[in-house]
Amino acid sequence: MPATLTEPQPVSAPPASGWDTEVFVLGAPDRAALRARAVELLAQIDAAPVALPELAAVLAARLAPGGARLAVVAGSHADLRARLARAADRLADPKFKQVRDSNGLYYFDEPLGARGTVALLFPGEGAQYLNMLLDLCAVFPEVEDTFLWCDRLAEEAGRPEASLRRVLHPPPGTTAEERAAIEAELRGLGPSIFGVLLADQAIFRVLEGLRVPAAAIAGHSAGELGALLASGAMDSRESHGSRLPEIMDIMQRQESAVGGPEIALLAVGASKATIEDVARAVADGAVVVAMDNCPHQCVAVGPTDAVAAVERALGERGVIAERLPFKRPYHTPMFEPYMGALRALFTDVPFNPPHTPVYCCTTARLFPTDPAAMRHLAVDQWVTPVEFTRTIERMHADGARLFVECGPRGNLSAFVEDILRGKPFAAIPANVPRKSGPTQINHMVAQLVAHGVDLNLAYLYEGRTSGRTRSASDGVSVDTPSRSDAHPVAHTPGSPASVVHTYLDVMEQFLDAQREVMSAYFGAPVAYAPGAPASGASPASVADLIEAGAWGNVAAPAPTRPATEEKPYALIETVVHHAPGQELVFRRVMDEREDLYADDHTLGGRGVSRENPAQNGLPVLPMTFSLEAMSEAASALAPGKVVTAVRNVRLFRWLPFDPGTTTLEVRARVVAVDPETGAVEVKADVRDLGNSFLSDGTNKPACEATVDLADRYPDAPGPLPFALTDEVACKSSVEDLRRNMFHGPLFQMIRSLDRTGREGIDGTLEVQPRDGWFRSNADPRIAIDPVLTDAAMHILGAWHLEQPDWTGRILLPIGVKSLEFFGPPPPAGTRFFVRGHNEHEDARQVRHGVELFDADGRVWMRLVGAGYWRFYLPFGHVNFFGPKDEYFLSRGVPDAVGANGAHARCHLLEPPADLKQPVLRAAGARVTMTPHELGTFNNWTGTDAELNDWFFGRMLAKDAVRAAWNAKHGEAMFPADMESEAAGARIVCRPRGAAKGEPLPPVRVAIADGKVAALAAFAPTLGIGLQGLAKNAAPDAERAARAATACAAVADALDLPAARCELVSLDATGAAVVSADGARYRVQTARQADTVVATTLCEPA
Amino acid sequence: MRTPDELLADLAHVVRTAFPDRDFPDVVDTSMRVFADLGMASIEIVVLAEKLDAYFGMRLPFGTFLKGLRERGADDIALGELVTFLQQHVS
Repeated sequence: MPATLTEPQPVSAPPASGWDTEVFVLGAPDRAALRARAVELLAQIDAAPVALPELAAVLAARLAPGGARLAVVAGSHADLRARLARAADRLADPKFKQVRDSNGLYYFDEPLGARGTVALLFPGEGAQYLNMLLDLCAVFPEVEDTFLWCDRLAEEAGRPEASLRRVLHPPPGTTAEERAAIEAELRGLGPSIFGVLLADQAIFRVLEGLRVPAAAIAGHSAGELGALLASGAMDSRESHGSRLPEIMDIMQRQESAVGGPEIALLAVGASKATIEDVARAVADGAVVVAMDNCPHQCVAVGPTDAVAAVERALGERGVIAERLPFKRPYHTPMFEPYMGALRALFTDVPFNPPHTPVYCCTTARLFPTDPAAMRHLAVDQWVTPVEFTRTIERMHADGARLFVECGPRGNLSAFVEDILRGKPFAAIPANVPRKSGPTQINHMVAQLVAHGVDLNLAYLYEGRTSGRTRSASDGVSVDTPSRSDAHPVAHTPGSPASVVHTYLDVMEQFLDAQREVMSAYFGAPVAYAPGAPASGASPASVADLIEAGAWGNVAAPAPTRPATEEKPYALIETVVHHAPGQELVFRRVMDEREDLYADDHTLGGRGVSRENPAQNGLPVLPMTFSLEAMSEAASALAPGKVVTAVRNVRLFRWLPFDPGTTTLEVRARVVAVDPETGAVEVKADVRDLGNSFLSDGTNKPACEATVDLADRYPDAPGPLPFALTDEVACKSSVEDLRRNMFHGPLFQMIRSLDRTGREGIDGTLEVQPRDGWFRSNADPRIAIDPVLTDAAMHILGAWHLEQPDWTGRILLPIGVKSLEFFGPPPPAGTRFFVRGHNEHEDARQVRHGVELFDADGRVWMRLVGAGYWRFYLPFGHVNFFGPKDEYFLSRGVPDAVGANGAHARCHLLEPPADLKQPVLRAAGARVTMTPHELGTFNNWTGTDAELNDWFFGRMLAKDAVRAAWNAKHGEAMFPADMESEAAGARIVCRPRGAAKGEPLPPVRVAIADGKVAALAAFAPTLGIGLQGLAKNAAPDAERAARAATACAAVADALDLPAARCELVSLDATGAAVVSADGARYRVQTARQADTVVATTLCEPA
Repeated sequence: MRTPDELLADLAHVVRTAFPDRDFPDVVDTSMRVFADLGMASIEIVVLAEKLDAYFGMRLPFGTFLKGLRERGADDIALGELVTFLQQHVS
């Protein structure tokens, strides 16, 4: 599908992360009462502004079915006030039958939800754009998971470099040339079709979460695949997804080989009838309409000379037309040569009767229910014209009134607007390039709610609202939450959030009680004896499981007699379900106070404060502990056997340790038993039951794997091939390695780094004691050794240290193809020869392997296909995980400060998308913030976007102050040793500990256009201005931006409106003079790529 | 000869009548942008062009105008640009 004629360009930079707006819904019995509610809410907000997410959540929870409804989208209190005031005006004026304000205000006298049904429309190729839905990944885990899926598919196919995500979401820092190349690739047949299909599925999962009541579904062109999947007619994701990279390759090869200069496509701003008239007249019908999108847009295809004739004739009629930049003649019989891969894709796809009616865009009728006929239509639509106009008219005739576009860009909504103009309907896109993803979701929700559609609005607030709220019977009354309030949530009684919290509270008490009972029973330390099942008649302990008897007795009842010979596995705490030989579910509380290993596995680094040397980054569960947990569950299901391999490991998300506790649940199920060899295969996963980063973790595995067990370990194989190219002795020392890893002493087992080359690295390792892993268990029983396994992978960190390019060397694991063991966990003190293999690397991912050899040269462990995601953080030459007094996340901008004696330092940052990801952002906070600041961060009650501003603003202030202090005193400071406070609209920094010889310098911070800048100087008056600028901005535009920022800097310094400041002069070096209230001040401006920054110390000019 | 203010008023009138179900800002000025501020979709520019042709009773060279915008990399259209375009072609 082509873009429309003057297609707005998508935002060029990755969009801002987080919820930048909220949707506020009001309901009342009638219009007059609704207006009264809007006025009342306006007054309440004026009297006591409350956190917007909390207010939105409370209003959503209070919305009753039916009645008159008003929906507002706003990103600030000022926006909300303005829109409520406008709503009150409109509702008071009877001539307004509806309010449809694209800024975010919706009301309808005659809501369509009561007059018809909701239909979903899935866009196809042509709807893709760079970084589409990237900002939704940060707020909806389902969206992130959908995009991660293509990484996993590529990984499974052994071609991680072919992951579609590389093209959809290129890494930050991509150059203009790289970007142009990626955009060209994204227009290719395979990426365009499957990229949009992925995005469609991601949006569909959001709509599922909202429970949008779809009564009919249709898809445009390739979007028909999305429609068929959503309708239940087709389910190819699991069974055929792994072929995705291969299929895309085939299609691309076909596209390159087929077609030719003789074919041209023309997008025309006219109806099908107009084009056909012209084509008949000047091209003898050789040009055909391949897509009838709407009365004002069709796509015509034909031989180049005939298309040129049609184009000329249309131009003479004043019709707008434009050639499309590709020549694939889809939706015509000329597309048949491309069909091989598509037909192959569909051959084995089972079709089923859909659970929701689905329309076919080539027949403009419902799909048949016969599977063979469905398959035939689904495939042949590629060689048949798209009849979108007729399809929408048919759906409207059948009762559809609300058309929700379930995919990127919003083109189909514009088509529907054009097709149904004048009729009762609404076309609502879920995503448009001009609004942030979260904001457009809010607009979609607002319109549906205003049209009387009932949604699961609680979905929008899962894990976000944390302030104290309450409701009054005669209106909303919300306590103003304090950002430093560290107390847990007390939600509106009866609200979904309240129910969840109550449930978790009860569950926690229940588990505590179980733990105590079982502890008493075994006489074991609290938290390490297995508990009784949560349901079922007979209690089952780990000891019971071990005693369950011979393998294969799958029907045996759960034993009730605990054994005493063998101690429980280290991680199995409370068994909640056990079918011996079949299934096991256990839980374990993740608690930093008990799980001491966590303090040695902290994302963001260690020792980040001189004031408190014990302050570390954010503890996260090592992937290898998830493997251990699954291996323990598998071992409990197959007593007497040993774990020989853990395969197909997929890591979906981090499991961070919360300030409180998080409950981990491990589910394991036997899937195969070989009676002859005794081999057992167990599938298992690990999930958490909610944490502050993802409140509803239930049913969302964080990690999954297949565990192989056998009666004995297999014989050791020979080593993998290992011939080093460009072999050299390692330049890095073990100390270098330790400084560059975020692991503490428990995990530090590497003893030497020997030789390295392009293919990998050799070294040695010594197994460390296990008595420090847990506070209450000095001799843990394990199935594999999770710390040793993790530590062995550190040799790969050393390999990366040896590489000349450190870009993107923050590596976090996403999966493992196989981890095999050829012997039992070795005792402490055992020495291994460790070899790291570099299997593959590209811009976004790397894949490695590791082998451990014992003293006799036998392989003890072999890891193959360990996939890591690369993160790009702008820390220059200094490690993010290294000493925090040495690194600055932001960049200094020396050109922005003129020569002065005040040691002025200006720092600038465009926060990278990776660092806005909630877990990484929390890690960043843990290593740069004081305990007081962390209290504010952890109990934030504003929007996610406001939290980004707060966090990055403070971080930049600290960077500038540290730099200025170091310049004057030669003393490097840790950011976490600096307390930042709000003083009016300013930020003031002071030392966290004892006062220094002089106060820290004043600082000013500016935030604009997604960038943050700070100026610190030992001067009494200072100010800063900041403005984004197009990369290819003309000199006039740059000069205007310098002038504006110069005035803004003086205005900031003197607390004046910028209008009272006037540029007097600006020279070629960026030095400016600004006048304000009769005085003239020196200002220094500088341009950094797409940003202009100006600073002043208010020195007289 | 219509003044720019008169043309802006004409333009606002055509926009409101072409899309009667939308709630546009009460006051428009030349700095407002068609996509970002008025919330129009790109295809609706074609509809607007048709309505302007009908309102002024002449065929306006909108295709050339849009091509010029595209060539200079514009991703939105300020009402002021439309007013200038109308000034050039509406006598």
